Amino acid sequence: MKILRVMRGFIRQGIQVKTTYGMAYAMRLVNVFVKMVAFYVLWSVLYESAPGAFPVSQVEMVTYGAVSVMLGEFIQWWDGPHFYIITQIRRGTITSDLVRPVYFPFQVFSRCLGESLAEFITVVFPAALVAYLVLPISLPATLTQGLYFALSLVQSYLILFGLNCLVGFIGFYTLSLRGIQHAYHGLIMLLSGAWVPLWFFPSWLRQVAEVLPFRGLFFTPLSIYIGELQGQSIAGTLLSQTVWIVILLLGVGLAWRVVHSRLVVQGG
Amino acid sequence: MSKVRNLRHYWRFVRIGFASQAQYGVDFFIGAFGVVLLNLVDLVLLGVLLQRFTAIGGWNIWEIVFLFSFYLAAMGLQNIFTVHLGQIEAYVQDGTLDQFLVRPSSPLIQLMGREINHGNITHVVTGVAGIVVAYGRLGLHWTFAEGVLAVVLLVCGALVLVGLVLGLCSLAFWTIRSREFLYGTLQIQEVVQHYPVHIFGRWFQVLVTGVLPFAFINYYPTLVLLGRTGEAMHPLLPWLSPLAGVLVLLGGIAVWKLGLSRYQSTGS
Repeated sequence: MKILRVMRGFIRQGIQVKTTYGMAYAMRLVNVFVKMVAFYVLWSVLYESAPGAFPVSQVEMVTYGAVSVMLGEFIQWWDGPHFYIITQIRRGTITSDLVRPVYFPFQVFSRCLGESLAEFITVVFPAALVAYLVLPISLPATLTQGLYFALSLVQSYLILFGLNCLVGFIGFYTLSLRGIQHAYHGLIMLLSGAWVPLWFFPSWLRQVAEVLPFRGLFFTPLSIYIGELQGQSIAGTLLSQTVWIVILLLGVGLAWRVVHSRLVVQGG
Repeated sequence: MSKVRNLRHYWRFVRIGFASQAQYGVDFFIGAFGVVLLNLVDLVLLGVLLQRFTAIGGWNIWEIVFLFSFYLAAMGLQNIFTVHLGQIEAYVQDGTLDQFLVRPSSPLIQLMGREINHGNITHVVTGVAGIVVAYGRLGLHWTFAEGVLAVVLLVCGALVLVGLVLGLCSLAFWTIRSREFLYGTLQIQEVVQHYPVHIFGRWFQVLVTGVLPFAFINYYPTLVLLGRTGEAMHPLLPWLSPLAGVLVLLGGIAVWKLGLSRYQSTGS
């Protein structure tokens, strides 16, 4: 329960940070909305140019695009744990994280989850609400489908946390993540389905994407959302997400032990 | 205060900037590798899409590569010299802008000279490489004059971006926080970089021509250089690109000056 209290603190702090400067906050809402419209228009244009190239209907495709934007703004894969860790390392302020009597990866997790939830409340939810009213995008067809989507969303978040943490830990050795971060973001952009869904991939690339964890970030939840995945195959995909979570979180635990034991703090 | 002296100061700042960045050689190469990879991923995804649709808005893959690369090169050029403008809000917030006001040199020159981001040379090189490859694939044959025109348009594209970034960041004088204005337009920038803007309809063309004139960075120059000026809202519009470069830059400087004139230090 103490954990929940800490989380609530992070959420409240996040909401304050995001809404203190009125104009900037309003602008942010507009931006997310513009991004959704951009994806919506892009997929509409592409769909109308070649309806036969899509395995889904037009509404499903534009929904995929718009929900992908919301999902991206919520999980914010370009920010998050790796960014936090490297900033703390570079400033040397990581020492203050380490003296707290809470397991470091867990601290990072609750901080980032708090921020994500604050982001959801202040930005994603309002922007999504407007989008649903204005754009012809759909909700999940059935309640079960919606629940499966929610579950895969939670799993997506955990996969991202695992990946981000592992990337962040590299920073303990390199003291800079610039290049690594670009490369890592490239992988996510290419293989997660955030922008181009996996069904458009040439088969070799699709096979590569299938065996890696990145598709669990966007493609899995979004396919479930629009109903491209049905019945039996939902269970299989959710399970593969779970397997990746286990592998990644074990990896984080193991890596943290190694990293922690040989940590040298610069400056102070 | 003489303009010549300002320029001399700026030149000295630039030299110092490059010298200080050269201290981090390895970081530069790793960063460069990451940037190239990230842009390649972007192009691969565009390629995947265009393999399915053969053309977007009547443009084939190499025309899109040209458009994309032109933006990349202009953005890199802008970023090398003006990356520090993003810090205006921090100076305003902390009241540390005073330091630039008490020295006998243009505050804007001092501010821009504070940081030279030579890592962005990678963007320029990648962008130019993309333009060259697309040039070959499209079977273009420019005269010498057209080659010069291409360079002029590229520089003007960079100036448009400088003007916009300066103007948006200077909003901090009114709103304290301005990063959101700049970040907010990133989405629009991304759209303009990737796709010929006419596919999004008239309202978007008006937006990126008259309100936030990002289309002058790559779209209109590309129309000129690929001989497709007929596709613009008005066939003469693409030829205004050089003028747009100058005007937007002056506009940005005007916003900066106006903001600076109402700047009151926080007084701490």
